[in-house]
Amino acid sequence: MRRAMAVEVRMPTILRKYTSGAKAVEGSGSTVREVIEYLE
Amino acid sequence: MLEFRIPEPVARAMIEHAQAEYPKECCGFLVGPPGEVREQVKLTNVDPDPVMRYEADPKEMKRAYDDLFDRDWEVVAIYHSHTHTPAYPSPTDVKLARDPNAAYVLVSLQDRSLPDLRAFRILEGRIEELGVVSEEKAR
Repeated sequence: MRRAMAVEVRMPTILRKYTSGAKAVEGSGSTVREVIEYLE
Repeated sequence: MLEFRIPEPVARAMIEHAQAEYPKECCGFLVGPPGEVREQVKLTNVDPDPVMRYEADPKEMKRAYDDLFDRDWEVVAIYHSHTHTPAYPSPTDVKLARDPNAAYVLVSLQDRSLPDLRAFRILEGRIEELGVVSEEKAR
């Protein structure tokens, strides 16, 4: 069974404008796609 | 023309990397604090046709990005060599240039005894050449 887990998502400098400058944000999901959807 | 500064030892190391991999293309990052080249990161070209193309080893890229994250550095430039053509971005290079922040540095060994090094910005398919300034000492 896949379980969603909390992960640290490290932002490349070029994408930090979407995280108010944060170097890393917390994400959640059981696949990379789910983590990206969570962040969006 | 905008300047692109590369410490002389880094420029030399990049050309040495290109010579060592010849006739395969070499590839790597130039890294440092935002906008400033301090070090070279050599990456392995894992493309099945390394004489004609390059693709950096994803595991090595991951290690490099983790290291940059810890140091608050970034990829200032992405370099690779052309072993049979001039130091100018190929149509494939333009298509694959996805980082508007980074400079794209080309080392040509078309004439192996006279390596040519040029730098570019590639934005939405447009190529803009940068003036390479190579200095003995990093600022």
